[in-house]
Amino acid sequence: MALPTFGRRLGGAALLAAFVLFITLPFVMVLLEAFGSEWFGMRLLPKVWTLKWFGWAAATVDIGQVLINTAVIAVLATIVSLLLAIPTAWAIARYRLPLASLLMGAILFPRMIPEITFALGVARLSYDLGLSNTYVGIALAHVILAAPFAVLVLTSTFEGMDDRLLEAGTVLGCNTAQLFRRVILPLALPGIVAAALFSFLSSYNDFVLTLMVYGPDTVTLPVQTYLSIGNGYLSVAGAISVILLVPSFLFLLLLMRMVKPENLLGGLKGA
Amino acid sequence: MAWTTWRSSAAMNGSAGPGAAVADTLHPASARLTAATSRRVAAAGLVLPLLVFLAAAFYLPLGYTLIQSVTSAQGDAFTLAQYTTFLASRQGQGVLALTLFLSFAATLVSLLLSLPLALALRRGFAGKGIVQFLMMVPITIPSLVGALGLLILYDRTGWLNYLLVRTLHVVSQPVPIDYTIPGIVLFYVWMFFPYGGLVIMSGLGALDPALEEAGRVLGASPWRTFRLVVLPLLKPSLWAGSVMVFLQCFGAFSVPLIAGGNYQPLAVKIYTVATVFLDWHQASAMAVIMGLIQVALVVLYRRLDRQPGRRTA
Amino acid sequence: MFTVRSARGLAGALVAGVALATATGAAVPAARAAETVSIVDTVSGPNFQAFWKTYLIPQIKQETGIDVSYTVGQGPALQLQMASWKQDHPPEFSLLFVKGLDLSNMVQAKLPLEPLYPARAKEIPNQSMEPPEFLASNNGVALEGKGLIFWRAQFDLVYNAAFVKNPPKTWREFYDRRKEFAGHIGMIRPDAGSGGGRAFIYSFLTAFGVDFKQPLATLQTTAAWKDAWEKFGDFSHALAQPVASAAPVMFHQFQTEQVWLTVYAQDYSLWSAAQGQLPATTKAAPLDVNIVGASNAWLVVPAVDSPAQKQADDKVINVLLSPAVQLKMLETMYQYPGTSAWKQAPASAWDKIPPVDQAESHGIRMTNLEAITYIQQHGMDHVAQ
Repeated sequence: MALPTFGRRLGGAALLAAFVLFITLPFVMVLLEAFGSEWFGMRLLPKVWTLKWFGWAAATVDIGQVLINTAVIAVLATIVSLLLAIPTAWAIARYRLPLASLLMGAILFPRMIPEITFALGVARLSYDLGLSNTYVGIALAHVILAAPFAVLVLTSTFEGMDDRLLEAGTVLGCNTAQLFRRVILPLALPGIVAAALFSFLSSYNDFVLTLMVYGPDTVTLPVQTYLSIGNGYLSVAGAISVILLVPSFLFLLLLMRMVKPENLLGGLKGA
Repeated sequence: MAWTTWRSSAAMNGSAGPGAAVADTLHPASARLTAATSRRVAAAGLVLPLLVFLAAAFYLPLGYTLIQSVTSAQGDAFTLAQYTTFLASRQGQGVLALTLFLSFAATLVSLLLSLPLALALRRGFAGKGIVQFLMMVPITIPSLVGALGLLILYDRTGWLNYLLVRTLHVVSQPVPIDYTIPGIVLFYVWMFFPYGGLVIMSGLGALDPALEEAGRVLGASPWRTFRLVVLPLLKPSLWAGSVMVFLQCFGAFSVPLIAGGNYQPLAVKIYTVATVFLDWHQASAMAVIMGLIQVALVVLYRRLDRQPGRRTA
Repeated sequence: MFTVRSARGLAGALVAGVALATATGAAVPAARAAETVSIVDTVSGPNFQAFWKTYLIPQIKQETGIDVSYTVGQGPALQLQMASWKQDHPPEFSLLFVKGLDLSNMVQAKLPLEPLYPARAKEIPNQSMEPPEFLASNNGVALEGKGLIFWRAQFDLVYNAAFVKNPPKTWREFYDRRKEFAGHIGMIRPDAGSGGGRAFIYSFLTAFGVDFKQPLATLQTTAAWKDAWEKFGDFSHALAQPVASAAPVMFHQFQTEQVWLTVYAQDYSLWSAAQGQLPATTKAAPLDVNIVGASNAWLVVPAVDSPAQKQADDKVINVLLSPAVQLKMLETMYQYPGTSAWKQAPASAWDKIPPVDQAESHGIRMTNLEAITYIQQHGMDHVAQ
């Protein structure tokens, strides 16, 4: 297309602006509810600005404890999910397994039905095994939901890996460990990070299943936030969300910086 | 895919081929077993841990749900009535149609949004990091909070309609978005497109730029390069991304509950039957139906994706 | 290159994470001192959550020395968890704070609940101040004394005085004037988790002659039943669309002035208006038939608690039912006490809200469980779409 560069840049900038607004405005609503009073979305900005919702949030929520609980559980769930998902995805992607599609369906099934419908059994198991109200117990419950998405992402990652590079590695004399470290891991890293991210988010966002297996020492972010909405108090839930989201965003930023954004998007040259 | 081409050639040659060499170095098998059996054993070994975990943690509890779905509150030992009444009723069919429509529509729109976005983000530009970061917002906000935010933003009295009616004067009456089908699709896209977007970005990131360069050097236009080189290589990511978005849409609960108005898709209905009507038998049957439909769709989709004659890289 | 280095960094962080998490995760919470009560609250909105944390829990500590651990929870999920509870296996929560309908469901499902009234009258003396008729049964389910009421609430007409200068005083008047309010009458769906819509319909039908003391099968043959539902069908044309699928939706409709009148819990609405969560011009007034007891909050003790734990629970409940605490709740939260302590309230307490006996004078209780189920499952069928 022969658009003048300036026009293309302007169009690009406009699209970008539209995208940014699309994504952020709903959250801006939450912010305004959290910092305003008697606003209700009715006029542009609240008439009355206040910090009292944050005061309530601080009074009702042990922020630090909730954050620690959520983070520890999510990290545990991510690690276990990856450990289970990586070999599974490798097998599905690289071997011609019988009934592979059905197998994939069976692995994804936990994400295909509402949690409340199998929650009773999970609650019973957790209680009987003494795992209620423990980080490990809740993390394992979350793995039920996190591992399927990890398998989904990693399967596509391993399927997309160029076998000629693996071949080349073997032909050039790599043993198993070297092949894994120098060829497979770098190639798969964007996918592994994505799988880790989705596992982390699956655990971090979980509400219904957590309510089955939690206790006083293991209240997580969604539990605390959802149950502060009551009959419609978005303000306090908004304040809690704002407080709890800041560290969450920081953690995600850290995760993404640690594995350099270029790796998420860029090529694999230079391995 | 390269995998299938040289695997089939290896099979034709009667040897295990380099793939087996890779497999065997990773998972040494007894010399007495044939290569094929050793591959099968290795495959089973790899898949077993997750399957055992799911069997214990999920399928065992699910067994109870299954039993509930075929027994009834009246004490029937076995009945399919819960399934048939739902599937045969107009209400049930309507719910299924609604859920399917919303999910397909939102998945399609999400893909149409994610793919160009991911492509645009490849060429470095100033906003790349910000955009990538912002894509995290919908999936890190608790969904009920996000749903309420969406409700407020797109209401008759919200910012968007304020812009359209009072500032731009594009329309004279507020545009109804909340509680409408297009509105629900829009909200689903907001909530769930990052799932697809992040998978596609990850897949794009693993592409070897040399392949695209080759296409360009050989005289193909950017569009042809995209269509014939990039797109086929992206297929696994597109597949995984769209499945992920679809599953999220199909199972969506908070958004339709808050902003769906009279439109109540499957997850909302199951929740109502289970926790308000306390009819766990009916709810279990509906859940099984829900799961089986999605399994069928995923299996079908994967089959379509794996058709022979598909171009390989 | 740095892919592998970053991978090492990632792996290192993950290993550190595992170590930390295992150390904290494997450590089961240290055994608590016997005098600890772990309460799960499935009723309170953020207003009461703050009240618990800032007043009730310190008050309990002061009066009894008991440490109360406070956790928010959700009724249906708690009920599912309770199904697995066994003797000699203490559950995570030793004291439950639940909604009335949840309690009725729990008792009906024969979940392990400790009879408190009058079985533990000695340990919880303040229970004598509770109204016996409320304790005997709820929603038509005989409670076997398995709960004590912490607060009472009722559903009244809640309206925005900026738009409704002269609210209707009876349901018939409301019905006759429905065109005046067309599109501005808010109702929560009867199949929603929140009971507001069911209370709405139950009171409407009662006002139009349905006698809920009769069993449902009989009722359905009466002329009054058919007529009342027909009138409700007419009335439903005036409801704000869409009919709210959940309480937050109706609140949003009320806040954005789409809804001018609705039937909801009086205390919650007035308090919300005072806090700026509802328009400042929000008021509440009873109609000729209003529902009482539907929105009560109950204290419940699991039967599987150890005897020592139950004794601690008793002490906590007794403090919660004490006149001082009950009156404090009335004065600061506009919430009607569960006990008769309200009789000791100073006159100033009734500035904003009517005295309890006056408010409950028109009150009826939703005692016909079959009818409630019918309204739940078929109420929306009668609503004009």
